[in-house]
Amino acid sequence: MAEKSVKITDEDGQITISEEVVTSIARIAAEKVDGIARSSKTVGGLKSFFGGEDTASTIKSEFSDDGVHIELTIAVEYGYPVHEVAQGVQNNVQKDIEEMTGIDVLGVDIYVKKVIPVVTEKKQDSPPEN
Amino acid sequence: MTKEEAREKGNVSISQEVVTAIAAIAASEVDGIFHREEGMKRYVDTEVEGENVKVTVRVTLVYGNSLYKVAKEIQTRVRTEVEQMTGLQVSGVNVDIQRLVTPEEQQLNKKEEE
Repeated sequence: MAEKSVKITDEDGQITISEEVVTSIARIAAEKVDGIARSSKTVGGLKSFFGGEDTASTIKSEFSDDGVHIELTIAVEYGYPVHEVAQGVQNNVQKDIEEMTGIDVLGVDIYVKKVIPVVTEKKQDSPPEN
Repeated sequence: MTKEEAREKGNVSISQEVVTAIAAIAASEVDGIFHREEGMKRYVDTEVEGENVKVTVRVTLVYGNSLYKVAKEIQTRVRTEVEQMTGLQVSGVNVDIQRLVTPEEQQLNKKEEE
């Protein structure tokens, strides 16, 4: 796969932002949204969290002359309104990429693939034994 | 690959390694960069041609900052310090942002190194 990147050149030299960096921003921005299911809540959170799949297949960044187009596959925690979570992801991803890189985000396509039941929080709700 | 500076008392030459080390330390001082200065040198390339030097820095940055601003700061600081400390002219500083880490990962990394 060809390495894609955005290059900004001026008299100081050239600044290159790799596709991996844009994808990382999208991943971290998406992760901040309430209701996004993470398969592993490791510190750093850069591990795969979209239903335990390889993240490389779940976030795609496509560069063009005008900006970048993002595609994300997400899993939503049970109980959250799916479309609101998806919209939250769209907003966060667009805002973070534009603020941090200056690259225009042309669109953020979301594919909600799974709903994940939340196990840990259900335990607190269950009545004490006996 | 060295700077030859003709003087009345003799020649002063500065090795490429010195230029690279200065650029590496300068870059590692910028806020928002992930590397510590000891490990930074292998991410820096310098090309010295006569009085001119071109620097390329490959960096991992920390999420949350404006990457463009951090890159600009790296360019400014590397240029200033290399020029002040070597007398060479910096023709350009290329900043190649390759990876991004979260602030939590940066904290973990710092703890491991301590």
